Amino acid sequence: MPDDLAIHARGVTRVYKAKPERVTALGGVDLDVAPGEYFGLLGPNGAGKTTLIKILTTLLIPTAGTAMVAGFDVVTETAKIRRVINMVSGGEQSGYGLLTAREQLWMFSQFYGLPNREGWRKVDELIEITGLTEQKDQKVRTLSTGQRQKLNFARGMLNDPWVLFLDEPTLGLDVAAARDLREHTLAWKAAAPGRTLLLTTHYMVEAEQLCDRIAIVDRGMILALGTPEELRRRVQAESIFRIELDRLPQNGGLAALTDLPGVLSAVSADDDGTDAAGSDRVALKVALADDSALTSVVTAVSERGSHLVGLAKSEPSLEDVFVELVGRGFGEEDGKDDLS
Amino acid sequence: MNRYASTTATNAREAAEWSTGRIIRSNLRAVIGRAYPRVIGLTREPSWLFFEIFLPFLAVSAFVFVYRALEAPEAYVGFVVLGGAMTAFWLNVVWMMAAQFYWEKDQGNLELYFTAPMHLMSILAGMAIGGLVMTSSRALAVIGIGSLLFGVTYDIQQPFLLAGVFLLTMVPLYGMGMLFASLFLLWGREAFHLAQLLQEPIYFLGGVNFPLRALGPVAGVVMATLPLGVGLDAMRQLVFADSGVAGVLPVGTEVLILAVMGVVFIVAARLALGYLETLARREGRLTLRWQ
Amino acid sequence: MAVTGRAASVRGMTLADAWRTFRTAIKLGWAIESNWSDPFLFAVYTMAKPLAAAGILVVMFQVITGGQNPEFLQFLIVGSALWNIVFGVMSGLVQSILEDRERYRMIKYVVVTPTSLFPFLLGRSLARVAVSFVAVVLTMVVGVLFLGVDLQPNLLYLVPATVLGVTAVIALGVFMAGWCLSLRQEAWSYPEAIAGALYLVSGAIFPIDILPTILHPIAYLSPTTWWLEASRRGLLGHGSPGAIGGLSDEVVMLILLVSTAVVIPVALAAFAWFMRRARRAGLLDMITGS
Repeated sequence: MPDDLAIHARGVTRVYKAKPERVTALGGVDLDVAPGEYFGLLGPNGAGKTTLIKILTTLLIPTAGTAMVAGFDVVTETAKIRRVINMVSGGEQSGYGLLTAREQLWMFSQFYGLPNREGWRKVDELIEITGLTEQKDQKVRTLSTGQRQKLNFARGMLNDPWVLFLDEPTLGLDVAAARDLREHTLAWKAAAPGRTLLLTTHYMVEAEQLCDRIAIVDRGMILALGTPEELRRRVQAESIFRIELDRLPQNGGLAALTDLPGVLSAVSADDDGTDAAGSDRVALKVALADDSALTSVVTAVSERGSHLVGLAKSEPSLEDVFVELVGRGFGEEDGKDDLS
Repeated sequence: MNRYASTTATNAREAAEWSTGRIIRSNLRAVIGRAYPRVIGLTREPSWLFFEIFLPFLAVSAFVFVYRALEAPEAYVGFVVLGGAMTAFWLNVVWMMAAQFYWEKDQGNLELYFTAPMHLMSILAGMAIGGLVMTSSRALAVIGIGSLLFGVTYDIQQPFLLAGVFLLTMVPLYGMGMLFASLFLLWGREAFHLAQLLQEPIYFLGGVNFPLRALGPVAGVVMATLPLGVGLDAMRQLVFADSGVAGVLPVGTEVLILAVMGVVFIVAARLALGYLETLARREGRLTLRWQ
Repeated sequence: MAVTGRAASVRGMTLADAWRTFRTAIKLGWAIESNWSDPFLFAVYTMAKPLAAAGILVVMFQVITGGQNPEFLQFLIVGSALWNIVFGVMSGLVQSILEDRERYRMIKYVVVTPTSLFPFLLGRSLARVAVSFVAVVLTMVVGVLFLGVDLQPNLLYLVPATVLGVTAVIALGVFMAGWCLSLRQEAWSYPEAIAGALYLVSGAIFPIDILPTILHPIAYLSPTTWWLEASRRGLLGHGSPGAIGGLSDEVVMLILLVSTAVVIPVALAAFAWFMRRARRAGLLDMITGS
């Protein structure tokens, strides 16, 4: 039932009356996110991710279709939705420069109706959680980009949202700051189960680390939807391992491995030019129908006099998935206006 | 309860159901919250005392000297001083309320306001109240210093009525500001021009520097539309009872007009804000900058 | 093209560079100013504001004198008309710099280019200054057609007076722009405040003699005072009431020239100082806001 879902969208369309021609930012998006789920929207700039978030956070009305958040309609029940959501965007400079970090958060706590004392308590708690204790009395305009984004994140937590929207939250942050933010998000997940997250990003690592399910979005459409593992399976159904041995297996060599149940192929990694010339080691690329076949391969290798030196699983990235679905990478945009 | 928690609700739908009392309390808190940066800003950057108090006082003084050059009766000097004081509130309405949503959109704060549960009128009220410290200081400075320097004498025979007229003028004035806030959001990049348009023309139509009666039939238009003009005319009659310069209408009638204006503008503001929010959401203007 | 060590060294900014920056900034300023969502509204704003400002003075005059003393009315209208330039220049320069810092957030990118901020600022604000000239013309036309202003233009006197006066006002605007850039508070309304204060001490709408004696030195030191006086002589054929009106045309022009010559380097030096201060305090990409 749509009422039981955290997010429900059917045929959500958004057309902008841009010049010289209209831009369809969303072309009929269907989406269901269960309560407690962390859901990611992965796609390049201009894919429509932010447009969808704006619709779900009641900033934008869809041109067509319906959308509900926490069982409330985004067009007609905005007041109720706003009581249970919050939003954190990346790369923004919002805020009042002359307020301290602590004051800024308190001000927003009042916008969410927190009683004064409760507001200050919550503010101090979130400042500690996000690691801004040293900066709490610094004016917002003096904070670094990473600190401001932590502050934004803390603001996003003020009302203990049931649905949190993170719109490219780590945009423009350095590696450490981005990692911190992801850790805060995971900590929130652990501390507050049952809360839902919708994350938009074009960083694959972020989507894989945070999200239970991911939708790959491009040009206003969802191209694929599933867990990270399911999405990778679309590109590469088999499990591919790179196995490094001290020498080639005796008594049949690679052919003996290929005959093992569950092994689809076994080739020298040299055949695809991935092995360094002149090495004493032998590298094999083994394709398995299932990860469970790996045990028999390792056993067979050992029985044929070779020793395992290294083992690594080779998996397609989500960009590989995207390329497979769309035919171009995340960086190969075609210059469409980004109205998201 | 985990460290993030601030609710005892067990699900989102339950958390979204707020009682009327809670809605009212939340909106009042939002008023205080939004007023806070305005008030605290005054203590952190004291240059406003020079730019917002002293210099505007000098501008008001210029009109006093025009009357002195024209050898006008001293009552007119009092008119200018009182008018100058009231313009402080009008400027607060225009710049601190009407144009504010446009500036907030530029800074990226507007979308945060729209996604929060409080009503926009609470935010506007907070802005207005926060600006009142500066505004009231400016008004008092103009009246106080102006009266001392230019020897203005007052003949206030009904002080409570005067206070009532002043407060009654503020209601439609700020209601008008809220109405303009939604119009500014609609008209986007013309906000600066609109704000400029709402200064000298309003001073002219409102009789800020001269008795409104001098406008002749135009004064009637003012009576119907401009709370600043109506309020100022009533206050002048009460503050300078012996000036010999008549108002457009008796004070009682003008009080009634202000009361009706108050209701009209507040209701219109609420309706306009709701309608224009929907329009802005439909056309995607809430987050479109430099529009 | 080979890059020699000498060619690779950075050369200083030439006049040609400054002119290119100025021209480009004019185009930018015009693109921003002419980005009207409603040209009709813009036209209304352009006309209503200066006419209302003059109208206030006209009504004040009529209420007290009943239309007697037309010379004083002419004095008022010319002063009110020309004051649009002061306001236009002040707000144009200050708003440009604040907009580029806080709305468009581009000023830091201009500062790090080899070009100077000064020609950029001048060019950027020229569109707004040009609009203020429209206001002057409009007010004068209404004054001539409906209020009995008797124009006796002396272009030989008026043109140099206008050039010097506007140059002086631009210098004051540059000073203000630098000052506002170095403030941490919202400064959008400050140009109006400064223009309003100058209104008091420049003989714009009343003779300087009416001012308290203690303010006379400020009035006589301000180049706007001499510009207004020279412009009145160039437009109306006679000077203002009071002591200043008794000076000869040559003396008035000379004082205008000297005061302009003094204010220009002072304003430029002050602007440079404010810029250094803003850089030292990290204000070039600051966002105020309350």
